[in-house]
Amino acid sequence: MLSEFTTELMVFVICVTLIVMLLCVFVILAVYRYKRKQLYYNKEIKLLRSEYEHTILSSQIEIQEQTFLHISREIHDNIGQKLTLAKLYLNTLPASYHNIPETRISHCLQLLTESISGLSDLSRGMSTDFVLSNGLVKAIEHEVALLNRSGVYAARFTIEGEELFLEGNTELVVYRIVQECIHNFVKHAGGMELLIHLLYQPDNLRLTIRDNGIGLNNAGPKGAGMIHMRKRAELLGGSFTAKDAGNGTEIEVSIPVPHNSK
Amino acid sequence: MPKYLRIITIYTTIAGVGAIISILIHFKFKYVWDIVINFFDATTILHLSLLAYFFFSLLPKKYHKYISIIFVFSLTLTVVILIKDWDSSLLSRCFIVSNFALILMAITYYWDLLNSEPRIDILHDPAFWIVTGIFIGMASNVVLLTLSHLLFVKYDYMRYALTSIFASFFYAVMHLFFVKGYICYRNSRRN
Repeated sequence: MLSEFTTELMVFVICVTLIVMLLCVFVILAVYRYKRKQLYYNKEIKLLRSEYEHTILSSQIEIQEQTFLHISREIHDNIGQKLTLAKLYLNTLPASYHNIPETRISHCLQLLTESISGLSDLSRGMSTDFVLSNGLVKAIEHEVALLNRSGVYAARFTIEGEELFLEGNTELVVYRIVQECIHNFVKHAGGMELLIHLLYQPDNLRLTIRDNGIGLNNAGPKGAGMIHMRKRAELLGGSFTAKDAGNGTEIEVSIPVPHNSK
Repeated sequence: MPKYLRIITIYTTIAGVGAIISILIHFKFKYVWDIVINFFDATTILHLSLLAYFFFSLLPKKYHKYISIIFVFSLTLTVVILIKDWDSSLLSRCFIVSNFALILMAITYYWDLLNSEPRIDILHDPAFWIVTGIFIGMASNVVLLTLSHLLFVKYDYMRYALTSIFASFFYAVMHLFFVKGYICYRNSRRN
């Protein structure tokens, strides 16, 4: 009688244990399936968000470039022309006209020449045409020359490696980053020297900009300029790092270049 | 606190009070099984309706809610009819039927969960742990009660004793899952 009860008890315990184990397996499988689905879902969401941000950023940059181009053309074709005409009139004005002293006329002429030159530089800096037709190197050289012309700063631009053919959009983005860096250097860094180094690697373009200013740690909160530079670099699938180099700021931008870009 | 968690709080409180009362009855009137059984009989309907209400407030789809309500009504009716013609062995059958309904509701919850957008982190979701507790607790009890009817036919007293021990263990496990659900809720509020 006891053995019969023991057998029944064993069957009972085994069955209950098995069922409980099965239930646990069911729950674990449900969690596993849900988690896998969640992983896939999160990846998809991340991808969609990244695509969305990419599109928004591209549109923003396109709009910005269009605005720059418009202003640049306006300066070149309208204001520049009028100032040149004014200069021409002044040049043809007889010195004795209305007893205006000659020095004053020559001073006006000098001011007009400087304005025309300044506007021309501004127009060139804004225009996408300048970068696209002359290339990135020439455009950066132009920016460096402008900075040196001020007489306050000493800027140097060096190139290393075999120059690669870059797409117009890539060159434009790199150029805008350089412009933003120069702007930040003049406005916030408080330094005197600036070094721009462009390194062409077989599949990568590395841009390093270093100054001898107060450095990032003392420059206060990061502005929108830094964010825009990072976004521009990320738009091309590259990276952007800005760090305090002890005696100044060092900015490094890395942009991947397709293999057939030679 | 979400509604479903409030229902579970009420359920846990009633279960705790019920357990204390049943122990008191047992010690006061030793071997008076009928009283204990009658008491549990009354709590069957409460147990079923509270947990069914829990699922009703938890399930996201309307038609799932209504199916659960129909289930509860029909099963409660069955339980009431069965209790009318009282037989001590019917009690566990009532439990089997009511627990089976709860298992189906838990499966409906899992179905909804696996077929919806996986936005929540289920391992930190109180509802998931509570439903898992109900699912494991109820499914184990259904198997337990069914097997006890099939196996220990000759040993009535032993059957009651074994079933009580195992059922209590599974109810304890179920309440541990509820505790886990409460902890998840508390953590989510802190974060």
